[in-house]
Amino acid sequence: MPTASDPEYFLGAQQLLEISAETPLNQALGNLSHLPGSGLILTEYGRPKSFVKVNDLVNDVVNNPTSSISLFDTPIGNVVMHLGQQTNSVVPIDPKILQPNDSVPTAGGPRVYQVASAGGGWYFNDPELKVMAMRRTVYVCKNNHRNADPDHGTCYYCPYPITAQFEDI
Amino acid sequence: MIDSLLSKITGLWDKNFLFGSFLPALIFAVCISTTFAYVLGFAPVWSWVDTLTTYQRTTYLSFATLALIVVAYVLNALRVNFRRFWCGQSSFPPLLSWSVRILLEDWSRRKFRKMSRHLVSLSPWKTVLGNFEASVLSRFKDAGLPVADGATLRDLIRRTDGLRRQYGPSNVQGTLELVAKQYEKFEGNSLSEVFFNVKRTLIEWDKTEQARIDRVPTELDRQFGSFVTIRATRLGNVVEAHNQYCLTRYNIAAEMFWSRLRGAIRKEDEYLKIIDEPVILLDFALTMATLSAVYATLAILVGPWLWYKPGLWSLLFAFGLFSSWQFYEVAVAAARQSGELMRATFDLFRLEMMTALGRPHPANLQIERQQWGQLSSLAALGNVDSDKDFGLQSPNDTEK
Repeated sequence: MPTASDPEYFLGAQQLLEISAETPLNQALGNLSHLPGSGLILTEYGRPKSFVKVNDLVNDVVNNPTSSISLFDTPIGNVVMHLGQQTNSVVPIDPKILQPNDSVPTAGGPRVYQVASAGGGWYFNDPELKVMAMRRTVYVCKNNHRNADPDHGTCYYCPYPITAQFEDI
Repeated sequence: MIDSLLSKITGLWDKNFLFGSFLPALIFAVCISTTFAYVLGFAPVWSWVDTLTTYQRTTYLSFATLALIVVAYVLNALRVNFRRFWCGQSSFPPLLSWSVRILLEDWSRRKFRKMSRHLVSLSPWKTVLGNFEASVLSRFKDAGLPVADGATLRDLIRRTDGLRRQYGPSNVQGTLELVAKQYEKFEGNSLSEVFFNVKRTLIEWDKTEQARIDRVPTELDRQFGSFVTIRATRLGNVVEAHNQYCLTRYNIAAEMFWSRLRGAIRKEDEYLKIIDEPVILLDFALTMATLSAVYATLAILVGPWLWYKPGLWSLLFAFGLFSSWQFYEVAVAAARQSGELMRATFDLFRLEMMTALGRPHPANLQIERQQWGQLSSLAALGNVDSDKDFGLQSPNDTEK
């Protein structure tokens, strides 16, 4: 059983963006575009609540039958709540805070744990999640323009919407 | 008795008197004497001074010093009147002040309404961007049209770079419509650089405008009290804004309880010194603004009778007015600073004042507001619902 500080599962706190649930989705994605990653930690009242797979979330927002434009202006916490069961972009953070030498089970569905090491960090019980969290996303519009963030759901270079196609660099 | 008299005289030279009254009186006296010396000629004045004996010089100097102290003392007594005048509450001179006050209050109300409207406004640039995107989308073709050449791109980018937020949403939208029309002539993807330029600019403007709108509640809270307490001048409104703060937050009438609060925190000597500093500056600036206005009035009304030289007196009149305006601006800044400290003092020490007034610490803000309401009622009107409600016990209750 791996320990909480196992490099295959562990990511340092400074490598993952923490965003308040009240931040509008487009602003959160704009902040994320400065980092090489596609995942962020959603906090509520300063406490980490869940890990968000940004690719999946934007995909769900774009394909949502309700107005996707307004969702990009909505606080990210509300977007997650609005999508509810329709999205699998949210991974819960276990309330238990792990010590670096604690053993963690890898089974039981994807889950993220907070690790209380010197600088703090996150433990992903699914290595795929960690890999995804470290890959940058490029948002491609219907016209194949590549955007660092999806703004309000439309491209920066033409008036067409961001489609559900994403590329990882 | 002599000790008491000496302490009174020493009290005259405290910082408050020195900066708030004596220094303005001295500056005013120097300005008036210099102006007179210039009118009479500096050389004859010096010759006259040279003819004086030591005894005469000492006598004149003593009289001048005494006169200066008397003027400073009078200015000190008039401070409240100066403050009322510059806050737009004075009724002097009767008819002029009434009409000017009505006009200025009306102007302040309009400014208040204009700022209040921004509380519910939204940035227009998001709509402009949406309209531009829709306009381009309706014309966008990715094949069958020529590709835009370098010169066209440069011209369009120059044109969009030349847009300014200050032109207003409708003017900007008009220009962007002309840019959108280029999508009828050229292949849409070849104009992506232009589109990017426009979108980035409009997003930046939207963020700037939104930040400005977000600041409006704070600005309004610091510049005005409420619509019913609008004053004719900026200074009056800033003072009202700070008085209203305690009323709206804690139900405390700031003017009434300020002296009681000072009494409750008299042990905090250093803190009291800090909150007194901007008040001294405010008094100095207001006295100087008043004396500058007096100087300007004397220059334009009395000056020409002494020496007919319109250019000189007009210049001195303008100098007096400019100086008065500048000191008024200093006073507004000092009032803001003083108001911020007053707000902080109520936030930090109001419960100490409540204890000093014999009331228990409230369990929550709602109860606190009720208690301050009762205390205000007692202080202003002498009304108490009942001793029990007010937390006072009758002697009989104590005996039991």
